[in-house]
Amino acid sequence: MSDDATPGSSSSAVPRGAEITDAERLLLRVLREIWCEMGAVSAQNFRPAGQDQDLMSVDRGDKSSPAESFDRSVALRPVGVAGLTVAEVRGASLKAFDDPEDAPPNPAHAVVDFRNLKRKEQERRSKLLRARAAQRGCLHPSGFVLQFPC
Amino acid sequence: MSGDLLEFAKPRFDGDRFEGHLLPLEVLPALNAYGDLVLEVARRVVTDQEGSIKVPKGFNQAFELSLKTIGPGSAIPEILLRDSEWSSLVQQAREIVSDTIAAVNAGEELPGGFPLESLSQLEKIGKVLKGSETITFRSPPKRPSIYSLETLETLRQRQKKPTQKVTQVYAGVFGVDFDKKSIGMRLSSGRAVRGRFEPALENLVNIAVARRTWTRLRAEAEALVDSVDGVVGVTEILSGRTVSCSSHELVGPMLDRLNSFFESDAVRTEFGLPARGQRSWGERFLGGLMVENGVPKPHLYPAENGSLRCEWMHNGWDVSMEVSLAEEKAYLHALSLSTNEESDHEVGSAGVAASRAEIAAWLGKYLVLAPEREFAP
Repeated sequence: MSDDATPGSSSSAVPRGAEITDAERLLLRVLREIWCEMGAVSAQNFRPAGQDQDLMSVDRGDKSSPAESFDRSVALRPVGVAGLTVAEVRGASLKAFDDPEDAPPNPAHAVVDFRNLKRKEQERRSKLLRARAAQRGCLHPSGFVLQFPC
Repeated sequence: MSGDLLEFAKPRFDGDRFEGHLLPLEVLPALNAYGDLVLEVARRVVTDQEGSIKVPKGFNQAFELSLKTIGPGSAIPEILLRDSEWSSLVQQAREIVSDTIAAVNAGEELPGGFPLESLSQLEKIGKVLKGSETITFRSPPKRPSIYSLETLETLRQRQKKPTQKVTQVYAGVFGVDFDKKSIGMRLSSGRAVRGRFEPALENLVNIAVARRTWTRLRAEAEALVDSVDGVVGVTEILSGRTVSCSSHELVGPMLDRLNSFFESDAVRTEFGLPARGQRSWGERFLGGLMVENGVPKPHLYPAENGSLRCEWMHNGWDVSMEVSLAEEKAYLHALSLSTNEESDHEVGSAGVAASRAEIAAWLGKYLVLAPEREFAP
């Protein structure tokens, strides 16, 4: 995941690749420090920000390790990396797409599509994603405990 | 005075006397009264926000309104404001004045930021009007604020209403002048009032002001009571106690975190957090929900477009509230992670006490609201 890969940054309005259909594929999501209070992770970490044009950035777990995703996002002051499978994303009525980036290069970059959703639908989906990610816990840094309040 | 001149207001005078862009000299007192009224309201705004009884040094001297030209169409004098460090507060006062005129016309409760003692000043503006003449201080898309002779009559009727009696007052304390035995309080309606207290109550007042962020004063007082607005003024506190639905241990960290957002340039810039006035509003709003309505301490985060996001988790319910500081609106959402049951709710004018009670009632369906407790000295 690149520095501009999480909320508050820009992605293309249309995914640059095909839908990721491998249900077991792990997707990595960087969690921002500003959206964690005393370790409690905000659901805002699991939805795109306005500048993301409704595409939430993630990294494919088969092309990036949690540590690599974390290191690519230092400008966003990450606090940890969470994981979601494609099946879990679909369970929240969302789809994931490949979205490799050129500058800076990040072939692992992918997006979860939040386009055309009303506010209530976005809220629901981000909370569902947080609940699923909570079951897996923080993938990086190892041993770091984030409280997913579930 | 060295600041630039800012466009401040363009009140539009409509009526026969104002045709041909004429503004008869006899109506100039209305503009003078308007300027004096804005200053009075601005003084209240600044003392409320500073949490003090007195205005900051230099405030009165920095206030300068000037008349520029008569604009086209109906008679539209252009009023300019000399720029100073308090310009945004004066502009806030201008909006409060317009909101007050609109509220008078609609027969509604007056905005909390409008000092009731300034009603007579507001009345002076209308004394120059004749027949069907009007002065429009604000036009759509904002809520129109049109002063007519009907407005003046409603104001006169309204001013007759308050009666003095001993009654219960519930208020937050924001300032004390121990020399003058004067106490500044904010009622649940958001209205700031000032009253006196007897020397015997100095200990109570001292404690109430020291605990002002997390307690409220429940007092018996000689008060001015209006059939429309309830308690609109406090003459003297007779007895009282400090109460709260929360605690210093809960409210303090919430306020510290809120303030940390505003103290960080990076956070303020990224999330578009607004100016100091809205920050104070945010403190009062979130603090009020905890202290007065018993809402549990939220996890607090900055959100987009100058908003704050509160999150709670209770009994499998994932509950959130996003509060727009600039618009003073709240969006609430709750999702049961076990049953997928879901609900949302939007509240406009979230700063009004009735709306805050509505928010607390909605949150109370998913969270446990704490009851009020007394905190002895």
